[in-house]
Amino acid sequence: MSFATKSGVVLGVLGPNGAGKTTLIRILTTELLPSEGRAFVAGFDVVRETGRVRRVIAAVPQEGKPIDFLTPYEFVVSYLLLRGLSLREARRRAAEALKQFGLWEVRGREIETLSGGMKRRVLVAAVFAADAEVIFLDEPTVGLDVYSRRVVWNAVLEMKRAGATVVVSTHHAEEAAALSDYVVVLSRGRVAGFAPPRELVERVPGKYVVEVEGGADSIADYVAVLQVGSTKLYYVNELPQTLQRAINGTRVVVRPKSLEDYVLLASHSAQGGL
Amino acid sequence: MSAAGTALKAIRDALIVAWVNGWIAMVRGFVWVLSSALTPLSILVVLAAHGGLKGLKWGLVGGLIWIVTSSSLSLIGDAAYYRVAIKYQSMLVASPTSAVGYAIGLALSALIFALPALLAHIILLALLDVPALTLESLYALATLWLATAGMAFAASGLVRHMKYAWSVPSILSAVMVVCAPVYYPATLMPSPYLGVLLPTGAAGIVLQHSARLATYSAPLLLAALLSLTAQSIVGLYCTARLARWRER
Repeated sequence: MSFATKSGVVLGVLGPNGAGKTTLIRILTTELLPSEGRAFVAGFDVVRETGRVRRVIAAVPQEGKPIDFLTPYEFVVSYLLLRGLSLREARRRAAEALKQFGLWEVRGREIETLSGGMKRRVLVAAVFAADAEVIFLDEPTVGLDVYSRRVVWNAVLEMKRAGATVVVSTHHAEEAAALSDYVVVLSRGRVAGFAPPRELVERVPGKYVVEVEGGADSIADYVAVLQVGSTKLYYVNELPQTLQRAINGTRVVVRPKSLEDYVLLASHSAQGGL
Repeated sequence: MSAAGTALKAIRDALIVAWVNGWIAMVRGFVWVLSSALTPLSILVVLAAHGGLKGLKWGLVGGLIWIVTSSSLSLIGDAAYYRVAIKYQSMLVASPTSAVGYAIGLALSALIFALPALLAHIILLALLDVPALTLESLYALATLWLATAGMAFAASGLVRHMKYAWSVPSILSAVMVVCAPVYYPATLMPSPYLGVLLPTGAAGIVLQHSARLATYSAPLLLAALLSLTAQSIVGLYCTARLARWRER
């Protein structure tokens, strides 16, 4: 795989399970040694300049959880101290971050008593407070309710506004589309697409998507078709005619094409090209 | 960063990790402290019941070694928990945290956890007028801590599933204390020099001699001290090099 992005942007990493999103992030965060090739973060080689990379990055790992017997305040302060901040600065930033993430009221409660969404927000708050140059968030919104997800989204945009480069891996195309300046789509360990989300959507064939439940070939005038379980996705240019032909007792959904379609098509394409 | 700066950062990180994983954990979960002290206390009671004052002294000296060993080995569970279960180590890898500082911090936190039980044993030994805490025995306990903590941190890197992380330390503690002359004299072994193979046995020989529970030859004592020194160096090497801070 090969791609490069400029600093100060949000990079979405999209792909199905097993595409290599977490492996990519673990390599870029210096946790996993690449078997071959080279990777640079903020201009530093992740293998040869590990120390320099680690000084400018911060990460929330996939399925990461804060230490449950600590309070949110203790967790964030200790994380910042380990990053080398002074106690005074760590306390100041921890207070700011906890307020921003709606955790100030529970700052003194043990984390194990908090909800799953709050626990996740504690992790993101710690990384947010680190004020790192490049921030990696590996599926940061998995299992979060709508409110917590919005808090995380806002934080991502806030980090970008502060000048950080944020790398967000996610399963959800709408999340990547909403947050990212660029999206890299991975499929079977390869880059199946790398561009701003709107450009990737434009690469999806046709103008509309007609989803037809059941296996019958009910639409003829399509430019691409995809079978996902018992549903067929027809990518079409002309809507009225295809609709008339489709309605014959089966459930039909018509929608505009989206980034999700790009991911679906890319993950079904053997070599990742569209 | 200069070598001195790197060393200072490692010491700072070790103290922070020890504060989090040792002090706060101990204050919030005192039941764990009691549970970790339960086995040596049980053995102490049994030995005292059957061996009287002499049994009590053997139990106290052996207990010191058991507590240091089991608390250091419990690091396997802590390190695996942070790496496998909650991915806290992954957060720290992606930061300027010192890997050695983190490992030593976990080892220190295990020692903090063991302090109440250690103090109880030391006070009882003092009350019984047993001269267990000589310079040599303090050196033996310190090197035992380094050797077993290093071994534990390296072993934690091999743990893939949490179901093994908590059981392995208990098994290892029992093996290392029972198979070595900790609660019995090294002279009961086919050769007393076999006792120095494990750090627990080497520490046992030094402590038993200091406490005047057994009398050993100078070469055996020297062998025990050399073994502890070598194994603590191996432990430090394991901590610095073999710990899974970066995976292949």
